[in-house]
Amino acid sequence: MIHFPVVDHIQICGYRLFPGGDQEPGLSFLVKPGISIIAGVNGLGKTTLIETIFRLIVGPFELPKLENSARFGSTARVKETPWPARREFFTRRVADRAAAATAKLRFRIGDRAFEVERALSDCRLLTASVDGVPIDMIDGFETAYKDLIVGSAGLGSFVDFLTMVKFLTFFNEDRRDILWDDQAQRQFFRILFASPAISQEWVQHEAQIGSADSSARSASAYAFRLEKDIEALVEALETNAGVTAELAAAQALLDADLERREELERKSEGLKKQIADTSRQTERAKLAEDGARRQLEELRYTALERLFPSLDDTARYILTHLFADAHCLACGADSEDEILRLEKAISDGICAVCGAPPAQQHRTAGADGIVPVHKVEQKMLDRALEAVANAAIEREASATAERSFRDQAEELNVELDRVSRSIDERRLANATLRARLPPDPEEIAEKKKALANARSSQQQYEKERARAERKYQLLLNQTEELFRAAAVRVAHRFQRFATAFLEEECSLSFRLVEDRPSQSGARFMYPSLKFEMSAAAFETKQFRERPDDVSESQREFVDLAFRMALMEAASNDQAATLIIETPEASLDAIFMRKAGTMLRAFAEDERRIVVTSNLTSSVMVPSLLGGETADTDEIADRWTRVLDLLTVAAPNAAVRKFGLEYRRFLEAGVEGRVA
Amino acid sequence: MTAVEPFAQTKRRVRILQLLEASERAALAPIDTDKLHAFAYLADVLSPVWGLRPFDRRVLKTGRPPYYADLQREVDSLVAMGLLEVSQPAYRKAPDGSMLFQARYALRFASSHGRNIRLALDADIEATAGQSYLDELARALASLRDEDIAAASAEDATYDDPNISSGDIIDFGEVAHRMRTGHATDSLDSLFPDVRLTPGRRLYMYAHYLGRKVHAVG
Repeated sequence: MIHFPVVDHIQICGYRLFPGGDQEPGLSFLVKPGISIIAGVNGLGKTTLIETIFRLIVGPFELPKLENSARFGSTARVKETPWPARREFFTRRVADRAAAATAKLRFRIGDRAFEVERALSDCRLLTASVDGVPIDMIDGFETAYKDLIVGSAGLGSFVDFLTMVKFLTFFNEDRRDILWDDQAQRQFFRILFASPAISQEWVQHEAQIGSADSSARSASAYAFRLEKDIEALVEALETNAGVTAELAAAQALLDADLERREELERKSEGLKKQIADTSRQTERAKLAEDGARRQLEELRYTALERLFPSLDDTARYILTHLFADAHCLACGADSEDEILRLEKAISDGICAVCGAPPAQQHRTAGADGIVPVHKVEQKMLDRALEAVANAAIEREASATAERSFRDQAEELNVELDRVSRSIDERRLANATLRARLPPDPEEIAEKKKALANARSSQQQYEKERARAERKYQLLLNQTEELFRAAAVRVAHRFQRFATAFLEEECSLSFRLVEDRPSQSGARFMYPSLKFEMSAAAFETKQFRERPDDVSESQREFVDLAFRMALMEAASNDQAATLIIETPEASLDAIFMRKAGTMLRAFAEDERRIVVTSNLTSSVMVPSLLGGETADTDEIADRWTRVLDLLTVAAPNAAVRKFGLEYRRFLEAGVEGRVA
Repeated sequence: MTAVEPFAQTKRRVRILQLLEASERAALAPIDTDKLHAFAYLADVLSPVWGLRPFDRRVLKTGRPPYYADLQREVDSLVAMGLLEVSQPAYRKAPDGSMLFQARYALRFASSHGRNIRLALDADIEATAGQSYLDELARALASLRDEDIAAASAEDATYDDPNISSGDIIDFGEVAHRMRTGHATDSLDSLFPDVRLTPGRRLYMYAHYLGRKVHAVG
């Protein structure tokens, strides 16, 4: 038998979301058997309060997240994880980050009375006791506390306790379906109706099946990849047999090009040096030639100056250069005859302009100090002429050599360009060829070996999985009768709750459904209760396999009825607490009353239901607490069942503005009047 | 006579006429042989400041200021053609014993042929662009003392480069040879960080710097 937590009293101190009144600071609420209401408009902290109660019981722990969070999961959870929001959930709602906020809860599980106090800043345990005896809290993982509550509940593990409390004790706003989820049903049958030992064995087998299956699939995927690789390599080996020879030939051509380029670059370097040398030589020769010419010019110039003292600068300049160059400076014509004539005239003392012999010349030698030109030392002239001629030859030779080297360099550069282009093309072609090279047979052999190992591992894991599956099957056989009997009890109780809410005829029927706890292993038959309901268009009841097969409000309350039936059946109708968040959201006035009837049907004897209400409808509170009455004792009792957040919680803008109206609305509800 | 391509020869003659035109406009004419060659050299080495390419490919570095034998040959021809006027021709011996020719040159405005050439050049866009650069450079050089102009060219960062010895050529096409003068003209920016120097202003400042350098050395 399972024992569910029964909440007796909640107290919160120092948390600014619930400052309380002047007389009674903070929040304190005694939960009596029957129905209690946490009343308050949006934003007053109803969800925070529900989470506080939940965290006080289970602590800062969470179920591990499943990849497909829309479903419950095909296998049981093995271990809880830390609650990621433990340091944020309560702190971010208040300015002081809940530095001094504490919460305390008194609750019972079976015949054991617990009292726990936690800091809201990080959810850690401050004090904990069972039956008045303090619980060891040295361990930061709350191991002693967890063991005690799991043992008191009659379960096999804390993760099962967490699952049970999260989905059965609390029916919160995210409303995960249980009735329509075969996998969820399977886990709740295990948690609630199998013994702790069998339940843990079940979890262990599922974990083994899952682990072996995952390893087998990994090995299989790896083997598949290897097979594809080997196929491709073998194909490459067959189709690209000639590529090796082709590549060798292409590489030889590339090597020849590379060698040629190196040779050309070497030559180019040599030519560059030769060009530099000859160009320097040319310039030097030009300067030397210029110097030699000026030397000759100077000799001529001196002679002319003496001969033609009246010649202007330009005429002297031209004649000087004419003698020096043997070319006409103006037109470039070869004037050798004219020069010879002038040369002779000058050396004979004949006037170069009019041809008068020295005797007829009015300006005779000596008369004005002119030295006859023929006195100019012919040897000096001859040497100067020779120097000019030699310099010209040297300059011409240097210039010719330079031109020749430049031409060679140009040709060489053209070839260098061609070879470089060829190298680029060959390298590209070789890379293409290299990609097509047949694989190394050793590589194929290695891969085949790896494939054999992978297949062997796969088989090993499949065998492991099969062994675990056999044990799992035996366990399922053992539990089948147990679950059938439990299913009858659940179905019976469900009928009672559902009938209170639904107008249609409805029932649960037991079926075995096929599913598998792993992705690729064997399939098994699991117990499942299927919901049937009459419908306007059909003579008989119809299976409603999916939640979409019923209306929104039906879906919610049918699932709630199923949870209540599970709790009753598992606890043998013992005490329990069910905490429901805003159940009125999807209901009209008629169905609110029916929902009230259904909830009251559960909240009998020691069982208790805590409901939060938004005060959106005047019908909900009377539906839960009872109809209109003028009995002051009755009204006073009803008020003890109401936690009035309008008074206790920090007021928001709506409460500050419409607080009186909300209060009148709540008062009318408690007195059973429809406002 | 040196075998010269007719086209290259014509280009060089035009260049000489432009150098002398710029000298006239900056009141440097009649310009003597050393100054003319110094002007031609600085026009080559500073051409990147104006976004132009150097006219000459190279010059031989000697122990004296820059001298282009090719240019002098064409100057001689232009005198004979009656396009240039020459005055004070003279010869003098250099310390190394070689004979140096000195004269002063100016455009011969009386030549109708010369006038036609100048009109044709004025109508040519490329020639006009080159002329404006030479005009600006001539004005920058005219800001120096007359006797400093030839010496200033020898103080240029490239000609004065200790990595190039006397007897080696300075190749204007080589980046390494262009870099030093370029760096020198670019570094003028750091003196006036808030002012964007125009190319013309840059030429003036560089000429001023060379003039200062002549006296710092001398």
